[in-house]
Amino acid sequence: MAEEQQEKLPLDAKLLADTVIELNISRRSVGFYPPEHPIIRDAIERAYQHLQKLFEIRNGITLGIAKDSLVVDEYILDRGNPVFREFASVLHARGIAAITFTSGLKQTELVKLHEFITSREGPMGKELAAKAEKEIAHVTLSPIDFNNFFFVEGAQRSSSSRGDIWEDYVYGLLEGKLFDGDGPGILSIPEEAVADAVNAMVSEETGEESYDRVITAYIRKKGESRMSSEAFTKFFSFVERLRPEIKRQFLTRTGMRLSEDISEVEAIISEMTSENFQKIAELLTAHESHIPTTLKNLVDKLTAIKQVKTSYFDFRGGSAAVVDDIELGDDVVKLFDEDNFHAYVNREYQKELELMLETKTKGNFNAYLYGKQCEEESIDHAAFEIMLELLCSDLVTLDDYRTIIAKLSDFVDIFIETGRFGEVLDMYNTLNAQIQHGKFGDEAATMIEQFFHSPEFIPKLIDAFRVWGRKERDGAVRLAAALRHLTATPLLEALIEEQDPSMRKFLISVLEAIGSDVVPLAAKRLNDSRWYVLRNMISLIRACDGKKEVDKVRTFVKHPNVEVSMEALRTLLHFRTADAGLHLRSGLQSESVDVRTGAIKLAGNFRVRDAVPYLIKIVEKRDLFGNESFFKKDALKALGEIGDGRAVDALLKIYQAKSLIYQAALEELKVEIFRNLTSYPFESVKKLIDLGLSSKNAEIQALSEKSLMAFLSSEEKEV
Amino acid sequence: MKNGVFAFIADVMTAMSNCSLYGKGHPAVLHLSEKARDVLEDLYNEGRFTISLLGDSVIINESPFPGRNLHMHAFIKKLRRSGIDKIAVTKGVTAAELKEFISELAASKGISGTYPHIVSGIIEVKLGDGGGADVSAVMSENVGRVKEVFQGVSRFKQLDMVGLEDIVVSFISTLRREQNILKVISPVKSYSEYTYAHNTNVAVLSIFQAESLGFKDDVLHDIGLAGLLHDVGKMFVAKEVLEKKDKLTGSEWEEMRKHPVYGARYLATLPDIPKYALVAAYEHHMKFNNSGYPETTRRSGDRQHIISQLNSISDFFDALRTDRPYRKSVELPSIIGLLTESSGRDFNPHLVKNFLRSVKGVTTALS
Repeated sequence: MAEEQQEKLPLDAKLLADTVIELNISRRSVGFYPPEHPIIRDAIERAYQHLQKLFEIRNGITLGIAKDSLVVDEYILDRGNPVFREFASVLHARGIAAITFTSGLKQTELVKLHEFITSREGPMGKELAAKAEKEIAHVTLSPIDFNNFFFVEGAQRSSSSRGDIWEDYVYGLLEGKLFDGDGPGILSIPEEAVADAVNAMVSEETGEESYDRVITAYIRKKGESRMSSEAFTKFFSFVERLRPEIKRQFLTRTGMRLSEDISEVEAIISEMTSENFQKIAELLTAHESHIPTTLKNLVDKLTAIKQVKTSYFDFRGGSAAVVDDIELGDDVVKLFDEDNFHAYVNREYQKELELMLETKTKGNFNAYLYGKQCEEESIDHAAFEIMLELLCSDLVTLDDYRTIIAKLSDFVDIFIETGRFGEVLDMYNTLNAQIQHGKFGDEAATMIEQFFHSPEFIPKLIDAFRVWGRKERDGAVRLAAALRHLTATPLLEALIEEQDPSMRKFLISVLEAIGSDVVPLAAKRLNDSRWYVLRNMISLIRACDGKKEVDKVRTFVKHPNVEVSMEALRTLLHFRTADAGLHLRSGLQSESVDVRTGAIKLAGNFRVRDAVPYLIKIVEKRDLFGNESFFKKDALKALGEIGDGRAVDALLKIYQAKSLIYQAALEELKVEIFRNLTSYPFESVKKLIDLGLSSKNAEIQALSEKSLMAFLSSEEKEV
Repeated sequence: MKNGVFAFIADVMTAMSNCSLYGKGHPAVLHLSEKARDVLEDLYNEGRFTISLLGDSVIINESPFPGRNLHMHAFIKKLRRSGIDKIAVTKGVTAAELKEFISELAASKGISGTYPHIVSGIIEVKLGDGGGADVSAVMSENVGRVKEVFQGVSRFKQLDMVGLEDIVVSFISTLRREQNILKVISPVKSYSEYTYAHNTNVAVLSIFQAESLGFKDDVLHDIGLAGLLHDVGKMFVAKEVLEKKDKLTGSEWEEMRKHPVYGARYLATLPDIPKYALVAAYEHHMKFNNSGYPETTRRSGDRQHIISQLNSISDFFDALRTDRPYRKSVELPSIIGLLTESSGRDFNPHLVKNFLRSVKGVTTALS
């Protein structure tokens, strides 16, 4: 290392360090205060004056930025200095690799520079450099070249360049030429490197002050109120590596220094691990003739204390115990008892352990599952749940609460986009509970208002329901029900406009889950002209238990659209209105094929006994042209559902009927009879079953067997 | 530009989430790919759109991109998990191409397909961990760096995530050079250094476990970060309690027991939440059977997360093997015995088995 540079560095470094500090203060001021504020003016003035002093030495000064470090020429400014780190990080974050200030710089240019680099939204990297080139004549910003930035940074950390710095450092330290706080700091240099350098540079003629400087550098760092045990350990590790004659000198000087503050030394040594203390004690004991008695006595005293450690626990409470910050249950604590503890190290136990470890787990199933747990979705869920728990914690402040809630809303946005409705509901429920019992109920209420009640939220949710609802049905239904006051109307609108039948079905099921809140909304829409809207609204009124709207529904029983009229009739039957039977009978006798078909089905579905004579009439009707077979089949099914014994004679007649034409149709009817026997009283259909069992039609025979088994088993159950 | 980039990333990430949740055949994946393709039209620079990762920086069209949100954060992780540093999309890309590419990314198995308008690859980065440097020197330096970062932890300051991530990269490369885990974990040189050395060791031990389970690099990275930060809450415990060299009183222990909540609270309020670390910080004292602390009622349905389970084992192992002012350290074979006995109750038995099998070579040599 050239001596010239050694001489120059301390001078430049001090001024440079102060300049960077002033630059950073002025940068912060520009960021915090409005333009023209006196604080900005003063800070800029100071930074400006410092730069002027630097310009007296050089016309231009360039600060290189390597992530969080500042580099001037080939020197890295103290990486431990938080101001340097902050200034470097700010420039790095703006995509700047170097900044050059040149003589002639004006204060206004400094202000502009700070405005550029503190602006959150402004340009970065190449664009920022180009802007600075146009607008700031005496400051040049060099953008990071992202093609080789990291290669360059790697080169700065090479071991050879580091070795030079260390050598220079030790030289400066011994000669007293080192600017305080400059260089890498002695604790960051390997002890062997310092010892090598000291062994090479120090002779017996070296003055005591040189030893003292090294001792001071190690055991009392600048700004620290007390020595650290790490420094202490490193220092003695360094001393141990010295040549014997230098070692003696160091130990003598060190002994004198330490004896001046023996209580602090005691505190440090008591903090050391036994192993580290042991090494120091051995070193001092080996050279005890060179150390003061007070220090020697202290070492002896602590040696005795360090050897007395009896417990494995930090403390015990009842049957449990604590090691560090880990709570151990009584089962584990018992194992620490002397007798049990040795069991873990005996040969037999080792063998057992070996055997256990030899057993391989089957396949990679667990590894696969663990891998799944580390996927983004899983970790999002866990983090989200913990953040919800934090909202309920007494340990969060109002600021924390607000920050966490804002972050949770980001999560919820993602959960909506990916159909994770259960988590969205968790958030809503947590906030609602907080309104009732939480420490920051008002904040929770505001959040619900601003997030869940925002104009964007519900449309986004409804869109998500369309995409994910059928797959994440349970979560969607629970969420829609919880947010019923918000979701009912838009869901109803969505249902009205929905073209896809399966989606319509899903939306209806969600609305049904919402329940009674939907009824008045659906009733209001009964004046819609579209038949499918009317059908859906009537259906919802029924599903949501809207009996009070039944009068409005009744008006649709004679609606020209059969889908609507049947939905209305179904609703009357559901609510068992007095006129439901009347309307049903009317339907059963209707000339309209669709109405009659619908009424037959409803009669069966609602097991309307009053409809039995009408249904019998349908099955007994003479069918000259074979047109009635379709109705007869439905009527037989409906009769089967009702299970009224009055129908059995008609069934027997059909079974025993013979026909020359439409034989196949007749055979189908006969089969249909045997498909629907189990709801009748057993005694009433016993004869039919007997006939069926001996039928030549295999299907009828099988159905008869099945019916018989069903009757027998239900009888057994009754017994 | 900024909003366009966010919109593109949001579409891609949502499509990816949908892919992994519902499969790539779901219509939403194609729909989102179409949206992403449309958004790209405004983002091309000379017919090309590039996203690169350099360290923690995101570079869009060769300029640093400052903004972050949850989607961006997840996107960066996804790229890392797939071993990709850079993606370049050229004008003319189709929604179908994007959809296929997104599906491959979602699977986190790297990119094997070829795409006419999409190129992905790596940027070579030199790691500055000193190459063949002595393992103990590297780890000792890392403890110092951890201390530096932890001492900067404050409610009012950002956490130096870049610094921590560099440390984790160094752990991973150190573990690949030195197979003997016991040589890698740092000895505690002084009691006041314990917190930093312990965090370092928990991170290394957790990476070691995760690597033996076959986790990929990016997950190892997250697990390492979670290990480093698992006790970050202790920075908010009263200093006189944290540094007390005597046994804690009941009320002091109650204060100490709050550190998981303090840690999670701190991490949850950072601009880019390190989610793995948040989970581990909160759960690392919960047990496999859901006992432990902090007591929780909300999550009764959820078990301790795998990351926290790994951390708990590392935490236990390192705490017991470390000598403290008023406590003896426990010999390795005994720690193994205690881990085994507690497995199934305090610890996940599969993970204990995996851990013990992985250190088996070392224990055999020692016994």
